[in-house]
Amino acid sequence: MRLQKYVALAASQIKVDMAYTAWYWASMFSVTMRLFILYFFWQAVYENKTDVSGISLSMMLTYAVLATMLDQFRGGAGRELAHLIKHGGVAVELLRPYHLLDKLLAQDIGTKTSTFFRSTLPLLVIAMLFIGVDPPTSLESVFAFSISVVLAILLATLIDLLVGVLSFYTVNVWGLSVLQEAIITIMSGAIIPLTLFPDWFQTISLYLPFASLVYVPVAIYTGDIQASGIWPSILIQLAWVGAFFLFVRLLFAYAVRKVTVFGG
Amino acid sequence: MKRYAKLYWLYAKNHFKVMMEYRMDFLIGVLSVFGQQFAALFFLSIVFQHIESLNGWSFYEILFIYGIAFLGRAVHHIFFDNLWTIGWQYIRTGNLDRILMRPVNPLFQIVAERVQQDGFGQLLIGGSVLWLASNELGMSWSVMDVIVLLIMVLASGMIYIAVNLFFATFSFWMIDSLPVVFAVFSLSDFARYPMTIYSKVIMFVLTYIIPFGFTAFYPAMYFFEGRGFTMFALATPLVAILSLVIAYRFWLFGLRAFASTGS
Repeated sequence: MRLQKYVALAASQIKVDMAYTAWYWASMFSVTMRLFILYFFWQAVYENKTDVSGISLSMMLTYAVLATMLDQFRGGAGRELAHLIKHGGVAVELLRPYHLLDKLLAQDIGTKTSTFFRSTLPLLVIAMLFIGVDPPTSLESVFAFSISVVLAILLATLIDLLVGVLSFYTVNVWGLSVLQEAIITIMSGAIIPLTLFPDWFQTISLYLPFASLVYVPVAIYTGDIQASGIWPSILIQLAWVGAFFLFVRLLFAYAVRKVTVFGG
Repeated sequence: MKRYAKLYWLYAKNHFKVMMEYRMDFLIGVLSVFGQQFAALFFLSIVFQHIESLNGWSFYEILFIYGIAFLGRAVHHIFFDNLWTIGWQYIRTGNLDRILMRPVNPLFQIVAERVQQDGFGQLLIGGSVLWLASNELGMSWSVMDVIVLLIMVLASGMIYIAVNLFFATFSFWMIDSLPVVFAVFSLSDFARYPMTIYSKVIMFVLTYIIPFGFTAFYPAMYFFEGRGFTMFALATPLVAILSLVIAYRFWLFGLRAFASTGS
């Protein structure tokens, strides 16, 4: 019974997303172009080389494709929350018979489910046809990859929600979210495998949550993270998800008590 | 002309008043643009720690191309950012009707209603990148070169503006063409790298159809010796003017066809 209303919220969100076909085609086009740029870029990098720090061209392209796909699942819920706060809608939302964070989470799951079927799958087919994606190394890695992807997507949503909650404190959250985007782009491995980074950078990223967003799942797929490292990496992801979940709740509970709603 | 300059000044003054009200946001905005651009540069520098050249281009040559792209984009971003919002801020809301009532060029009003301060961050970073790259490449700058650089940057900005205006004009028929503008602008990322790494088809599209090649790569070729493409480099200002003329004509055509949403 409790869960039912959230399922309904997720389902209605899927319908809302389906209504914006123009945006759907625009983002499909834009991601396809990004894939082509990556393809030509890496082709040029590997012009006179067979490997770059142990990574072959086909592995690099596989990494680039999967990382680009995963990057599509970044954020969304936090922006919605920030919007509610900025325009005062949050006051009404807080009166409604659900936990606002759960509602946003449910809508986010809805959006991401439809993104997966409507965008990720067709884009993967395009990538396989024109760019080339290596098959997975083993059945176990596929299994671990799937779990890791779900955790990564959940963590991305939670980080985004955290930034959204921060807009209780700063009214215009746009800059903050762009900053968040830049940090994640660099530190998650969304554009380049973290193993290519200088050592000190890799050490830092071990202690930060961002690698769990893109690098970990994709590296599990490509075999960059070897069998013995797979489950510990997933445990670390799980720990980050737990930590952020609690932190967002606490911060939200605290912020709500101090909320000032503008006339909206 | 003088009247327009005075009007623009009034608009800008108002805008700066608003900006000073949210000083913190201004800082965050500039900082975030830094972050965005930094990500792109960071990516490139990491890759170049593992290779010596990309299709024959050195790191600093590519940085130089980046620099021109940033500067051109900054021109567009600071002064013409409102072109992005024509659909949802003017046509959908009926705001355009208000603007059409006034005895001033409607496009001017739309453009003047916004100065995007974040673009100053872009200007700063583009300038520094260009300076760094030209130092490392051992380029010498005569007065003439500097003038050409300014013209090229302006031309680059004009092309961004023209493409933005052309596709924003579709809003007259589809109410909000922002997704189309967004999709077309994703092509501009191709322009960051030397065009020689792409296939013939892509080069053709970026040269003759959506001329993003003239926002960075071709103009940069004016400053590199022995790399070819000189004719294209010299054509940059012409392409910019031609693009703007086509885009503005299309805008006028759209404006005549416009029927308000009536809201």
